[in-house]
Amino acid sequence: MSKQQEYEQIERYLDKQMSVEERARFEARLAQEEALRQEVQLQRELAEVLAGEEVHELRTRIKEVDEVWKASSGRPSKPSRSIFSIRSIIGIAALLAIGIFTYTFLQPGTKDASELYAQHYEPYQLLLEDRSTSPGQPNAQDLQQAIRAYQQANYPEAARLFAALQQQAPDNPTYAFYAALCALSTGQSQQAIDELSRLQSGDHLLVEQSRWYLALAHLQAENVTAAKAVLSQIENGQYKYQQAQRLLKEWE
Amino acid sequence: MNTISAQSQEDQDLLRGLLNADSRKIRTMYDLALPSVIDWVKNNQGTEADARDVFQEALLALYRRMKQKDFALSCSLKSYIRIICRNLWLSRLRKQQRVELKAPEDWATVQLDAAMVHQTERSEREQLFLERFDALGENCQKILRWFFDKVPMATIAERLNTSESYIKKRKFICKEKLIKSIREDGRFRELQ
Repeated sequence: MSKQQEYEQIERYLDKQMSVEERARFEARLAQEEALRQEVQLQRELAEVLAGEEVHELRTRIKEVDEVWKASSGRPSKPSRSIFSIRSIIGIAALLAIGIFTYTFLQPGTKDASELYAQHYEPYQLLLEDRSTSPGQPNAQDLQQAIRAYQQANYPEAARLFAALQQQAPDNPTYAFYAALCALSTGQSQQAIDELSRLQSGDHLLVEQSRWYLALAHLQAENVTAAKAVLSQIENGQYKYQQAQRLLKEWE
Repeated sequence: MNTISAQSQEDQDLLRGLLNADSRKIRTMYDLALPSVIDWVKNNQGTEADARDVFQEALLALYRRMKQKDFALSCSLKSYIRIICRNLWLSRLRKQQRVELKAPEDWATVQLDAAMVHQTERSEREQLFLERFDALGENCQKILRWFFDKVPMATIAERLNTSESYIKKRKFICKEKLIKSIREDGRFRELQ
């Protein structure tokens, strides 16, 4: 029996896919062969540890937070009241009102792209606030101002400030990401699409988030085909994959 | 769905946030407990990086524990996380035979339930598996994640725009590579 066949046999055993006879034969071997017992045990554990997309998503989130925490030298984040600033609340309330109106008065199942955008868009949680803001850095003050504007939902001002930061640090994907979100929040769909498209590759922490917001930017631009194409690239376990799958199902 | 309870609403929200992989809640947990874990690990033959490793492991162990069955937190979340970290670090030191620990008294009063103790004990082996998994190439990770999630081979082949027979072969190669790298890791034998 080849190694591959042996693996497949173990998988069938663990998945309870063996016939009664095959199982009995396999268990007889297990009783006699220590190496096989160890192999089965290891493969069982691997299946337990690696199954479940939620675990992979949680690990990704923890790693992101850890990176940000490390970059901020462990300074506690400020209370997140700004995420729920008055302007944000008004904005969210407006979106909710639009959502309730459309749900109540328009037929469900015939949602157009902009409705879906309104239904799924929410500002990205700002993990940036402590990052790269040590007093010695030349852009620390600019970054603080950009963060403040973003947190106060003053997106035009935040867009201007993040664009300036981008000029100072063109290779920093975080500034580009927030600049794109500001563009999205102010209805500059094409600008957001351009920025977010550039963030789809590369080794940075915001690739998955950029993909989700790129899909939303296409929805905002009412380009459902492009939104679908991007959403279908969001794999299990990645940022907002469950919402992506729900959206794709709505179009099926 | 399992019941999750805590002594304060704040802790309950944080536990729910961990279950939902909510970055903001995870960040709050970092702010809440990590600084004291770092201080303690540094006082006990470790570094800040060790403390952050152990902290990540503790959050994952806590998540696994909450997914297993009902979970009731009988002390503050901060104390609970710290004691998980303490146990994890103690276990590492034991393996390196460096076990003189200086634990603050208030840490010692917290008790973990049997399921949490079991989860903590498994945790190191789990971390090893995950680390070796992370070291695989992107395609291998995708194929194995989907395979362990019982996604049909035909669907995986479709997602990766290739044939089912190729995916079966790749799955075997990736799994064999993973198992080999786990067995070759020096920690594997210690964790038997």
